[in-house]
Amino acid sequence: MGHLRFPVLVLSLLMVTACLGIEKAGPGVFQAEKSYQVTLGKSWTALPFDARTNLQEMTIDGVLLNVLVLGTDISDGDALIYSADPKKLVPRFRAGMTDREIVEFLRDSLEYNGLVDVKISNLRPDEFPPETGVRFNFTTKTQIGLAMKGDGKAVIFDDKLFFLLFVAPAEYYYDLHADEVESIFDSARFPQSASG
Amino acid sequence: MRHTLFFRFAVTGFATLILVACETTNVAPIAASERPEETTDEAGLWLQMDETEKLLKSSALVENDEALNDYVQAVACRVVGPDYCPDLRVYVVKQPFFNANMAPNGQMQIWTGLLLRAENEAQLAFVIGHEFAHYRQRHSLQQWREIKNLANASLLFSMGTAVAGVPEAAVLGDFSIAARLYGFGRDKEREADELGFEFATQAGYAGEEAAAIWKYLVSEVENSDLERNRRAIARASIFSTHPVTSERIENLEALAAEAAQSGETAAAAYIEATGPFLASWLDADLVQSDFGKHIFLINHLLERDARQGVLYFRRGEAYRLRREEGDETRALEDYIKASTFEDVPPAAWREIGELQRRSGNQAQALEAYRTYLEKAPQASDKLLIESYVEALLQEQS
Repeated sequence: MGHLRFPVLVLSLLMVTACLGIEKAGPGVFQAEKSYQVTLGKSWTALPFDARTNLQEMTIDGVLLNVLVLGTDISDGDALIYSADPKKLVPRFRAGMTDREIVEFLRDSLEYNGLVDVKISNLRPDEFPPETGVRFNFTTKTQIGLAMKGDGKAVIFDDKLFFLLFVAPAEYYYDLHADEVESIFDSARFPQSASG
Repeated sequence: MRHTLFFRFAVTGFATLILVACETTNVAPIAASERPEETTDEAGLWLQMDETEKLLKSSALVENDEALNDYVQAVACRVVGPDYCPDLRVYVVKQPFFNANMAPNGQMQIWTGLLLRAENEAQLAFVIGHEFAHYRQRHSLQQWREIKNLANASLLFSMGTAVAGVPEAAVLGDFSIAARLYGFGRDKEREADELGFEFATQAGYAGEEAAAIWKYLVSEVENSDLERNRRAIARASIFSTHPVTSERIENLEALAAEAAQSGETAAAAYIEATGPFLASWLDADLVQSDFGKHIFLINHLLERDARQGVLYFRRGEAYRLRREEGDETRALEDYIKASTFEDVPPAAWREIGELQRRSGNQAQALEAYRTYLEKAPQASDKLLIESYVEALLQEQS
């Protein structure tokens, strides 16, 4: 049996390594990478920040059942879809985009990434202290036909894009944490205005 | 010595077994309503495709519009004739690329990117004819058997090189076998082109349209923003799955010249059936962010299509998103031009408002925004645009 110890140890180490970076977040204030902060009312699982796309995913029940995406520090020419080929033609953020164009960029990125028929509704101005940003809802489907619902909030701060996106299956899971998500979106602000 | 003899005997015996296991790729065309025998390899292929078809049916990628599906299925039935019509199930798949494919069980996919680029029913008919040829000639089964046979040959060659004491040479066999497999596929594509042409022209469609759709595609790709795409359209290698496009065009033009009979393009019927989807298909194409190709496509459509309001608006959208020098002016001109046609989407006024606001033309921006809100009272961005109107009014006062 001794000959099995080494492979088992290596495998265990690999599994532990694979989990590195996954952290518990909340309840309480959560600081997005070098960026805005949100207040979490529940305990979330925060996946590692992806420095290639500047995105961080958080979930309560698993990313297929509910996922909150925090997008930070998106600069002119950046894309939300990672590709090793920098020339790859993908939707890209452009400085000077209007609020509506930002929502269009987020929609296009979701569709490019495989979601189907992303339909935006209820675009409205929304406070993202110290700025005014944009808030919206959306419906979509996965390619296998699962109906999804989501919310989004975005703002331009220092010429860069910051946003939150939440998406979950329309049946049961979207409503399950709707109040929590609403509260998180309302709490989003940049630290210098945290007291405001 | 005894050991060497035994080894050679074993290798020869094994090689014989492998050769016996080879299956013929020379199969008869499938007859109408024919189903493969349950115990055959073909039945296995059908079973797998039946499973993928179940998934496809419930996929959000399938376009469910009844009128469009009825139209495409009717074109398919005209091309393949009444006997084979019940064997084919055509699915319109929401994918913004020029593509169609055929499964061995009669499941055909036509992608919306192809429907967007076909100019008329005759061009669609040729594509359907081509795909049907793959089905009727059992090309999937032939390909499957060719793969198995070549895998066996590869094994045999590897054994031979091992016996000869040069096992490293096995890779050369794999290389030439792979090239042969791709060559086999290209031959099947040529056959499908010829038969597809025959089916479409026998159904009364204009033969010259078969080459026309490929010629257009070459022109469009030559305008791609990516050099890699521009090069790929003219390039072929021994590992290409399809013949090089120029060769296909040449062959199809030769077939059209030989046929010498005139047929119909059915352009009006095609535009009527696909018209309701023009804006959404162009929207999906723009998400791919190849502005060069996209603008070329719209310019091509503008030359032949009466839906000028939609097309000028969509070209304006492409300029707005591309943001090259002068694009803002081009976009504004296109939105204004679009607004002179009856089929203009209300969003054209919103975009005029946005661009006028950026240029500091507050009065024109205000007027355009108000027109937009009037024409689209239920717009998803109503609250946002109302906030812009309010801000402009405050600036004015």
